[in-house]
Amino acid sequence: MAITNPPPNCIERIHECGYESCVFISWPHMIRKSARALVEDLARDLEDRFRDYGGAKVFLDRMRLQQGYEWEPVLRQNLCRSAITIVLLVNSYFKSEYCCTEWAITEGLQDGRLPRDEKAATCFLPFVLQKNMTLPDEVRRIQHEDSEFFAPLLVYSRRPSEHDSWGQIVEKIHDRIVAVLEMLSRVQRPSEDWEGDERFAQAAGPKQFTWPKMPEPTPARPRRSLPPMMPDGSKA
Amino acid sequence: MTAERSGQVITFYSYKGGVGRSMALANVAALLAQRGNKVLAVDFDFEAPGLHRYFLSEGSKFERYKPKNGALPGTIDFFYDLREHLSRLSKEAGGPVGLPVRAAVLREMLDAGRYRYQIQLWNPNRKPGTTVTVDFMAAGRFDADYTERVRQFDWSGFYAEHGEILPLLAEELGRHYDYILVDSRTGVTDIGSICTMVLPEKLVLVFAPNVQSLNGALEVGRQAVIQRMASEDLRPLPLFPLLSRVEEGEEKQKQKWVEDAQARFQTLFREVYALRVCDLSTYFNIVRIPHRSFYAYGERIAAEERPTEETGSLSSHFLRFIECLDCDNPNEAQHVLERQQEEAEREIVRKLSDEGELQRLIQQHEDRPEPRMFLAQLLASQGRQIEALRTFQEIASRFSDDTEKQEWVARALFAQGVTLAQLRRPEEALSVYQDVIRRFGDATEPALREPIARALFNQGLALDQLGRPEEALSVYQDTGQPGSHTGRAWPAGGGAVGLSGRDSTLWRCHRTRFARAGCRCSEWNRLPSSLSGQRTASAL
Repeated sequence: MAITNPPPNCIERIHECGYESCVFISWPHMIRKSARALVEDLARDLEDRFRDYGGAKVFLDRMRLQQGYEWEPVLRQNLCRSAITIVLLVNSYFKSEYCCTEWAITEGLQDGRLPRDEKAATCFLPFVLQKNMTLPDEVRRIQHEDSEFFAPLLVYSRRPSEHDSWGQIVEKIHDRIVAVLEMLSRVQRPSEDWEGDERFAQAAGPKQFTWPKMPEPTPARPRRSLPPMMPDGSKA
Repeated sequence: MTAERSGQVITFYSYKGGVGRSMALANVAALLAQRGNKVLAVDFDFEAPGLHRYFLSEGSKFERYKPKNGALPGTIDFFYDLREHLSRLSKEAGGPVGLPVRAAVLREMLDAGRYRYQIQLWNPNRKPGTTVTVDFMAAGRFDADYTERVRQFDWSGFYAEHGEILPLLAEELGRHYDYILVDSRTGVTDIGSICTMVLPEKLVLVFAPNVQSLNGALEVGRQAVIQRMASEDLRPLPLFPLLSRVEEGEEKQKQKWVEDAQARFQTLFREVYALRVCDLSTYFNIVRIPHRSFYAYGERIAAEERPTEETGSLSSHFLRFIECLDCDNPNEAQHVLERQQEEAEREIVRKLSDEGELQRLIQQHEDRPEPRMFLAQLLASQGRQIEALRTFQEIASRFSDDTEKQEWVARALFAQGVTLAQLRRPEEALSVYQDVIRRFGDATEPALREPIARALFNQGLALDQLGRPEEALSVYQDTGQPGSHTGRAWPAGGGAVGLSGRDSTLWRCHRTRFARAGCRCSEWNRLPSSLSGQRTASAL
C-alpha cells in the first residue's frame, strides 16, 4: 500500500477535484489533556511534509479545545471537503456524538469518492490509542493501527514528537495518506456531486456502531486488580 | 480555589529506605515553591511516615505541622472518607455512580482543605525574611488508631471498586497545584503500585550507589512504564533517576558507579520507550545528590537554609535536578545546560549593570580590582564621570604595589585619562597617559601592551586637542611603526590605530595649511587617497 515515490502532483489533482483539506483529524475532546500535543504535532508535521507537493491543509478542530463552542455546520463542511479522515480511537470516541457523526459523514461519503475497482480502499486512517479496547465491527473491518503504534511515544513524554521514532511514524502516515490521495485523485467529481455531499454532511447523524456480541459500546470488565510490583530483579 | 492549572503528579520512589527520598522531596518542594509554583507534598508512606518531620513547627519561627495537638487528618484519612462518600453515593444510586459525580465528590473534599497544612518555608534566595508556602498532607493523624487504620485499609479492594477515581484525583489535584509530589512507600506493596504506576505523570527513582537500590529502582521503573502502556491512561510516564547519597572523594569508584548506573538506565529507556538511541550522559552529569554529613543529622531542608547560587551547596544540586525535572524527559537534559549557560550570562550582565551588586562584590572581594573596575565603567557610562574618576584613581593607588595586578593599574590609569578627556581636562589627561607610558612602557606582558598602545594613541589625540599637532605626529609615528616603541611588538591592530591617528593628524595639518592659504575644497580632493579616505575622515 505504501508508495515511497508518489506522483508529484497528486495533491494538486486532489485540489482540482474540489477537496479543500487533505486530512481531517477526528478525535474526542476528552483526550485533550493527554493527547493534545500528539494531535497538534501530527497535524503540523504532516502539513510540513505536504509542502513538498505545493502545500496541503490538515484540518484539526482546534475549536473543540474551547468550552461550549457552536461550530458544527463549519465542521461538517470542512469534513465534507476533506479527502481522508484520521481517527484517533479511545473508549470515549464512541461516546462522543461529534465523533460518531464525523465517522458517519466520512463513511457515507467515501463510496462515491473512491474508485470502484478499489474494493478494500477506505478514506479512514484509524489509530487505536488505548490498549485492550473493544472495537466495533466498522473499525475492525478496515486496516487500522493498534495501540502499539503510538504507545511508546505517548508514554515517553508530554510531547510525543520528542521521541526519536516520531519522524519515521509521521513518514509512515504520510505515505499511507498519499496512497489514498492518489486513488481519490483518479475519480473526477462534477460539482453536483459536491452539492449532494454537502447536503449529506450537514444532515448526517451519529453513527450507530455494531459491537461484537454485545450491544453496549463499553464491555463489562473483569474485576480490576492492582498492577503487581515485582520483587527486585524479576520480570513482570 | 485559584485559577485552574495543569499540574502534574510526580512520585518519589526508592526501592530501599534510607536513600534520602523524603529529603529529596522536601527540598524539591521548597525549591519549586521558591520558583513561584503552587506545590502540594503528600506522604503516602503510611508504614514509615517521615515527610512531616521536615515540616515540623519545632525549631521554626512558624506554625507548621503539629503532630500532637490539633493535628489534621492526612492522606489515609482522606482515602477512608473518600471510600465512604463513594460507597454511600453508590448505595443511594443503586449502583456505581458516573465519573462526573465522583469528580464532584473529590472536588468538594479537596476544596474543603481539611487534610492539608500550609507550611511556610524560608526562601534564602530572596531578601532575608522572605518565605514561600508549600501545602502538605501528612500520612495521617498520628493518634492511637493510626496503625490500625493503616493496617485495615484494603488498597486492593479500593482499587477494584473505585480504581477510576485515582486518575481523576491526579487530574483534580492538577487543577489546584502546579506540582503534586508524592512520597511513596519503599519496596513492593499495593500502595507502592498506586504511587508508582497509577497516580504519577513522572516517576523519580531515588537510589543510592549500591546494587540492590539500583536494581530495585530499575525494575520498578520498568514495570511502571509497561503498566502505563498497558493501561487506558494516555499520560506519559518518564522516569527520572536520582542518584543520591554520593560520597565525595573516591573519584574513580564514583565515576565507574555513575557510568554503570547510566548505562543501565539507557538500556532500560531503550527497551521501555522503544528508543533507537538514548544518551543520558548529560543528565547523569547534572543530576546527583551528594552526601552532606551536616544534613545527615535530623531532618532539615537544605533549600530553606542555603541559597541555590552557592556553588556546591546541596540546594544547588537539587536546583539542577528540578531543572531537569522540568523537562519532559531526562533525554532533554541538554536543554537544561543550554538554559543554565544563558541564565549565567544574563546574570553576569545583570550584576555588571547593578551598582548595588557591584558595591557588594567590592566589599566581598576587597583584594580584587575587577569589581571596582566594572563599577567605575558603569558610573562613567551613566555620565557620573567624577565618581568614575575617583574609582579609577582608587584602583590605581590601591593596587599599585601589587605586581600581579599591574595590568589593572594600567587599565585604570588609562581609563582615568579617558574620563579626564571627557571632562574636558586635556592637560590632566595627557599627564595621565604619559604616566602610563612612563610606568609601563617597557613592560613585556601582552596584557600590558594594550593599555600602553591605547595610552600612546590617546596621548597623540590629547596633544592634537591641545594644538600641538607636530608632537602628536611624532607620537603617532612611534605608535604606527610596529615594534618601534622600545622595540616591542604592539597588540594586534595597535600599529594600524597609530597609523590611523597619524593620518588623521596629517590630514588636519594639511587642512590647516590649505585653509591658511585660502585653499578651496576641490583642492583638498587632490590630497593622497590615504589622507582623504573615509576612514581618516571618520577617525577625525
